[in-house]
Amino acid sequence: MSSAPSLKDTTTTLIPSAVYHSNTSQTTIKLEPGPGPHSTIGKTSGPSDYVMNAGMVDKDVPSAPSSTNLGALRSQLTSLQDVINLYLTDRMKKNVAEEKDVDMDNLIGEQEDEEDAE
Amino acid sequence: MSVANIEKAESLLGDIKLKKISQGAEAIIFLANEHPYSNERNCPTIVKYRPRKLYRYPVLDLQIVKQRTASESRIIFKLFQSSVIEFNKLEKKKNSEKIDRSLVNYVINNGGVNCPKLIGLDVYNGFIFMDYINDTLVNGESSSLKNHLWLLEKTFADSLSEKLTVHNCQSIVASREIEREVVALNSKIKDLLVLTGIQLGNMHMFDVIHGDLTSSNIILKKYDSENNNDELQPLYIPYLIDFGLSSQSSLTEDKAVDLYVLEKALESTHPLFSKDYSKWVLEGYELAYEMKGKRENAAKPYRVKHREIYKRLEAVRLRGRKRSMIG
Amino acid sequence: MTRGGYIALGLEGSANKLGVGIIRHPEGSPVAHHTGAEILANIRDTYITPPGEGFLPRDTARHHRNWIVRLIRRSLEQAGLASIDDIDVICFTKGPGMGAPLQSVVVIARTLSLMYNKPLVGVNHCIGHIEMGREITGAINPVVLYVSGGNTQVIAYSKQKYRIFGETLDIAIGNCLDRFARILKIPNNPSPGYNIELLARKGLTKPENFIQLPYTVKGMDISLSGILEHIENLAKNNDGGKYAPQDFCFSLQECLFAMLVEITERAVAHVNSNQVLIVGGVGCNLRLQEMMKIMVSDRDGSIHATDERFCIDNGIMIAHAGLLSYRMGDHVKDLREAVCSQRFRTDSVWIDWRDD
Repeated sequence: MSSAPSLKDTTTTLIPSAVYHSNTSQTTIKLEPGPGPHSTIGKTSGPSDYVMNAGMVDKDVPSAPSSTNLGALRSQLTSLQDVINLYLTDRMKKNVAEEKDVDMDNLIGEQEDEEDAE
Repeated sequence: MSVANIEKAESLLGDIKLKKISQGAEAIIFLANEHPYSNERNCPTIVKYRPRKLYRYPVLDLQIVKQRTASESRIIFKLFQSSVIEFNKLEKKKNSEKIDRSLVNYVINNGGVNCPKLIGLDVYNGFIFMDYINDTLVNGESSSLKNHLWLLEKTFADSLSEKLTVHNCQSIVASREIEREVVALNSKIKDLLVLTGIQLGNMHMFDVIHGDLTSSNIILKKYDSENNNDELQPLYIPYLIDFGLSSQSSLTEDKAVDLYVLEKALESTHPLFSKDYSKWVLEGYELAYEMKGKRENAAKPYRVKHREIYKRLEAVRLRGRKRSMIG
Repeated sequence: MTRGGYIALGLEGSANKLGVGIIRHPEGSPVAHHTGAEILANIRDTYITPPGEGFLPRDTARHHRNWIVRLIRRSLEQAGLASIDDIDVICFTKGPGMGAPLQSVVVIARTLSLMYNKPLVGVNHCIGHIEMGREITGAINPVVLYVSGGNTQVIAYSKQKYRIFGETLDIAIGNCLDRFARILKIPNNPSPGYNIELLARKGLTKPENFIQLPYTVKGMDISLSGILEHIENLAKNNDGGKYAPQDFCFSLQECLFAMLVEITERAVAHVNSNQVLIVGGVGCNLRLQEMMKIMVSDRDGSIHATDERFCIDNGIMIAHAGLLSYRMGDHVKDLREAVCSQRFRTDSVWIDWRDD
């Protein structure tokens, strides 16, 4: 996110991507939205099952994308968010399986300290 | 409101003449010049009146007034008895052993708690009668610890600015004189706050939690002593008052929170000096446990008890600073 | 500055309400009191869950994300502004609040700031409530009772800070009411607290059905979790249906509000003030306002309260407090500082716009 492109730009070739690395893994990974089709309705950004099972009527569906480049970017970002969410969930599951929770504890501890400083 | 409530109190008490001394959020404090049942004349008595709160549902209100009046009376009675019992123990000891009769040692050795003596109560109407312990400070204010400290703080600040104007060319003389004054003032205040801390320690050792410790809920009573002829700087002994929110508890947590409440109150009432004040109170508090341990030949258990409370106080301070708030 | 004044956009989403507000301060108007603020737009959308359910951070954040652009568009329209270009500063809630919902709004604030090249101001949610309350009611230096889903505080101003005199030692008053509503399956629409108020207004079914609950005032602080536990157990067992929902609601309100009024009275006596301002969602409750009024008029004082437009979380209060701060020269200097925090105490904010 360091060099955000001007969003009023009309380029069509820009494809959003995300780079992930952390001090608990050696590899750096680049995530992309994939081939599509893309829409603003994501696989991982819907309401939680819990609240739907309690009888929730979902009134918070995102609006449809406009036919502009900005609209296309919105759809691609939704797909990218899905890819990121799936990747992180997967990673968390692996961590639990490998019992790397000691590392997680350390990470959480550091965060706490930061908050205290405020 | 106060007018209506004062009239109500007067009508309930018949012909006892009342003079309003102060008014808090919950109760009005009156001075009556006669005792409610003794025939003795000129016997000043404090009447604490909890008026009904019209904003509360009547059933709930009556229950609260009854409960608080009864609980406060019970606690004052218990603490007063404690100081009588401890005093008698001390008197016995005095006869068998040689004991320093000087003031500070008297207060330290007496493990009781100084508080008003309960004279009578009426839970349905919210009255408590207690003996009158207040004195008046040299500036005419009532002798609460708060007023006393404010007076000393102000006297000090005044003389400081005076010195600075007089000696503005000879700063070394001024700073030495000021230094001397700071030391003198500190030792006076320190003695008093250590005595206060001892009172709090003794109270907690009787498993009483005050619940509303502030420097205005500590009253100073002049101690008549042949050795002290200084009219302007009489010796004061702290008395604890206003047990309206008190409870009985032996929990370390409750005692630590009690001390924390006082620390917070000192901080907002005496912002410039609160650190020293709190430190001295805690010194006295520790001393109380130490002396009790000595008297009961159980130094270690009392030291352990004190340490537990002190540790918890540190935890409570941290918690207070970090208390999370979700919007 | 445009059109003889300063215009701020305020974005609020620290809990289940998403609010957008646009405010204008006349040019050169005072900042300490009575700014003469003009409300150009103040709209809100609430995330409402089925009866018996609370709101989860994840779903609440989703609600905010998916509505914020529509709400901002509508507010600009209402204010008669062509675009965000006409706004001087963008204000967002910095905290305290729930992490995910706060985050979703900060992201929008940062994005708009970059897109339109506008300065950002992070606002303490509680300060927003207090300043808006003072502006609307005209109260100059009141003791403030701040009661909402996440906060219960008695506050008074002294030396450039809003200092907390008393607060809850465990859960917030609104949280206590919300959780009680879930037990009785009282609807969350428009808000659980309002539905409790309506039931309580019916009064007890018979006088002996008044339920005695623990009354836990500790100095100027209160504790509520014991009361909640007590009434929850009663409601679950309910003695063969002895008590109707209105009996529970009436008794609970009477007990909780009496405690709030009592600690407020303690603060009023302590700081020697005679104005009381009630802010926060629970502050809309008419019974609480009535009880407070009895207490205050007993002390020859005045009570100040606002209606649901300003009591319940809203964007306009963020815009107002943010604009005060901006007019004093404060704003986010580095985009990396445009962050939010779940914890953010009222007494940690330096109030440089007040002159008393």
